[in-house]
Amino acid sequence: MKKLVLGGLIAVVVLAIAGAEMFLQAYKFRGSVIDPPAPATDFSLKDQNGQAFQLSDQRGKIVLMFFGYTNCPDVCPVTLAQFKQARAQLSQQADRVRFVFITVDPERDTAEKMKTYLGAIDPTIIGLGGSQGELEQVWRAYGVYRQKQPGQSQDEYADLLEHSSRVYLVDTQGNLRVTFPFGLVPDDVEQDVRYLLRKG
Amino acid sequence: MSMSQRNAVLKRIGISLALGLVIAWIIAEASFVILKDNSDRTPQRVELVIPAGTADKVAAGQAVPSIPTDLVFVVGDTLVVKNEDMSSHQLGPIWVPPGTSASLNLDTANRYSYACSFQPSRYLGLDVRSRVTMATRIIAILFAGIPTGAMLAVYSFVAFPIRPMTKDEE
Repeated sequence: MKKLVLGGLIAVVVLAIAGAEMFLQAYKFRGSVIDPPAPATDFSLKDQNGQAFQLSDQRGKIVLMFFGYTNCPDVCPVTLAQFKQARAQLSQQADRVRFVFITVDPERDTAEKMKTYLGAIDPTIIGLGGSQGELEQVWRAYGVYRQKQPGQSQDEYADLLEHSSRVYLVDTQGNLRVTFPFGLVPDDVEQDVRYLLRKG
Repeated sequence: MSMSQRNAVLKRIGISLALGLVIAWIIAEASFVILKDNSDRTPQRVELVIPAGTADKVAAGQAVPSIPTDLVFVVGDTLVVKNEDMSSHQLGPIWVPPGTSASLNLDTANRYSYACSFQPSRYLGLDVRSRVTMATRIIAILFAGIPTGAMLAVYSFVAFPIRPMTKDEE
């Protein structure tokens, strides 16, 4: 009887230690961690409804930013679809996340075009545009690469734009914390976002 | 086939398999020692520092001596790019603001040629190799040793057939 009780106690202690270790283990981000977190450069652009969007006004929320354009044949629709899925997985916590799509093609991406484009994918995604000068400052601040690739025909929509495809995560304090490469996994985004929302 | 013949056959097969495994082990270990490429180490954090002034040097077409053109890793390594320059830099999917570091988890064995802002060639090669673990080495020995042993057994039966034993020998 004594041996049974002792054995049970040892098992409980071992389980408690293992559980505590799991609980206290440092969280490992799924994306590429920026360490130390760098203050995200503030900017102000117009969204698809003509409303001003200021990054610094999003304190208290997580901002996921992606740079692309509406005529993009592959990278952008795929990433925006992943945004939609990540948002669905976050369910109630999605209210504290802003999914932002910033154009790299201000000549063709008017507010109306952005509204139609994003409306077909997920109308909650915020589409931002502005003048060439305004956007160039933002592209420079976030290391965004863009290069025009002439199209095969005279059609104005034939020109493609080669552009960087990473997703930037800005935390609730306005700091750049993590980037995700193209092909991001919505589960990874969900886990990292949930962790940062818990931390506050 | 009598019991004693069956035993003799099994003994011959057993010895052949053991011999095959020993031969495979000797060849595998000798190859491993001669060709040793450090891919049997445990995964590590590997730091790559971009020194101050790198962006200016690269714009002038100059290489930075402290930054290699190719890097070798094993699966599970984490590459940490530390940016001490005044400009942001990027390596493939990661972007490193000035004064910070960013990490890249190398979870898949492959050879990558990443677009890179801190090399005049604008590319950096990453060779991510599978780790050689004890399990890998044992499996390789088994894969080589068992067929070798089987072939030795067949050869021994052809070269030195087990003859039927007489009643006196039994």
